[in-house]
Amino acid sequence: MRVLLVDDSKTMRNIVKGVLGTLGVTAIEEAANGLDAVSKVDAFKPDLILLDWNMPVMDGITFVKTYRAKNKTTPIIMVTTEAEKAKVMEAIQAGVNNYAVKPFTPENLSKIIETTMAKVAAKKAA
Amino acid sequence: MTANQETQVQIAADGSQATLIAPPGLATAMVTPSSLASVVKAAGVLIDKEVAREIAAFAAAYGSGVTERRTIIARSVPPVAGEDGRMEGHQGFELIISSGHAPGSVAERTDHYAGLNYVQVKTADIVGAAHKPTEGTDGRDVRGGVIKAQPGKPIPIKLHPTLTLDSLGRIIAEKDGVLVLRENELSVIQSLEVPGYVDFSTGHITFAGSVKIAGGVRPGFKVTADGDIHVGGLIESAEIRCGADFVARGGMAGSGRGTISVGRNAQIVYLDKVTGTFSGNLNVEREIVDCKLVVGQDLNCPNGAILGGEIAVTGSLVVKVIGSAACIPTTISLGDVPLLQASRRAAVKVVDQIKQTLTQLTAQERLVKMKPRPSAADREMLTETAYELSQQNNELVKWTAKLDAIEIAARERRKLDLHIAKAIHPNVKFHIGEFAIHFKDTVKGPVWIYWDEQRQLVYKTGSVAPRALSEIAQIVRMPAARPAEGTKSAVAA
Repeated sequence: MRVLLVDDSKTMRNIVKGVLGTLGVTAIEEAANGLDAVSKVDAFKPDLILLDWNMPVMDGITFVKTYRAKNKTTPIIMVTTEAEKAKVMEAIQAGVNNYAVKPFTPENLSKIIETTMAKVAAKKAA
Repeated sequence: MTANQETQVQIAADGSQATLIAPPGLATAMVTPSSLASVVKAAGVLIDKEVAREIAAFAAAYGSGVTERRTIIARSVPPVAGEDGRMEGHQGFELIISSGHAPGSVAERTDHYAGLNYVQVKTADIVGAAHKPTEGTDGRDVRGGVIKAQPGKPIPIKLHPTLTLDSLGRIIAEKDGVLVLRENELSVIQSLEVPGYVDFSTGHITFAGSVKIAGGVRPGFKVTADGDIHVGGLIESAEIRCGADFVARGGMAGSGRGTISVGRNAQIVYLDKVTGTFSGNLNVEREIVDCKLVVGQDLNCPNGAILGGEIAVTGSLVVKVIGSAACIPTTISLGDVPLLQASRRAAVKVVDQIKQTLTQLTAQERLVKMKPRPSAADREMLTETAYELSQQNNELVKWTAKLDAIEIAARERRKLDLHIAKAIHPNVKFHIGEFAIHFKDTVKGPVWIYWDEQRQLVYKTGSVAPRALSEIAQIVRMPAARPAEGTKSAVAA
């Protein structure tokens, strides 16, 4: 599985990379903001995008809207501190497949990733 | 000499030069370049551009012919000898290959102990380059005859099949081992045999396989082998590092500076003032004198004595005599696992550190969670803390399992089984578990000391029923660390 990891915090990227490592993911591309992700996503062709909301230059929700205009299938999980219901709804409406609220434990995030990928696989099979 | 009227050409006997001679008073027509050229040609000299130029200059210089003129007009072209074939060693191998002899003679070398006669190589290492001899360039004499060039001598060193020469002239190792040059053959050997002593003629020996030394090991030299080491002669104050079995036919006289570390079993004639660690059994034929030893399994010295020093033995100890009538202080630690102490201590330390970190992280997490409305930064921090807690918990599980494995290994190896065939002399001290046992008087053997079923220290002589050891020795409970634990060379399990 190829994962594009978008977060302005290097520490957080390392944490998520650690979680992905436990899931056996080794093909990981990192981006520091939405614009950086836009420049990398076509070449990298991820199977999953993990995305922070609050980032400089281009935030996560803008990236989702931009990306979904041309790609409707690659799953996106928003990993963010934004826990308000309205925010969650906004993200889902923009095209986010799942939502992980910080603080999360490695086990929580693993479960969310696995659930999301299972749903995507089931949808494809149907 | 050839003459055309009075004009002459003298050619050296070896054809190296030709001299044109014109006496005075010749008619101008006889010293023109063309007439002189015919004389020179008639003499057999090859006329090339250079010679033609010399003839023209001669004619011009003759002038009115007042005096005799004599000029060398042609010289031979000497041959250029071919270069001898040679080998060049790449960095690290140059002392063996390029010099073709023992590197101890290299002037700039200062560490004579480290003389590199045996250099380790790995498969596919490019150890050097071979330069083939060249043919040289032929010369020619003044008549145009060929003077044959001396071709270069072939490479004086042959390559063993353990090394190959590729099309680019590179010498490539085909096997792991040690690069050696013997009797003009360069090879990679996997079992090293040193025909004499390890001394300045060999330098230190470091070898991936087994080493057999026909002689001994001189003071200050190091012998390190991943495999077995067999030494035929005396080992002096040297350093021995053996990854497998070790045999010393001549004993070891360490003079307080000799050290030895053996990965498996050792068979030694005697040990004198040596510091050593033996992971397996140590079998000594004669005496162990004033040594600091740690033995991972059994120490068998059934016909010899332990005199002085500090010896720690994990397994059984069989010895003829301990101490001497001269009351030499001798300390023996038994029933402990000295070789596991270092790794046990390290594991305990790591586990303690992890627990401390976990406590700090948990406290940090609790403080942030107590905030009624944590900020985004708090949430980020909580995620980091949760991740770090998870990592530390994983580490704790791993290190706890490691510590458990060490404890199990310690329990399996630890025993007390002491057989003394002849005598325990005064001033011998045993450390058995947490007990210090001091013998003030000579105890005659055969004596067997062990724990009985009630976990009491007892001794037995002959067929007599076992009796409390306290009857013949002073026993003091001492929880302090035993002296031999501090042996620096103790290795991690």
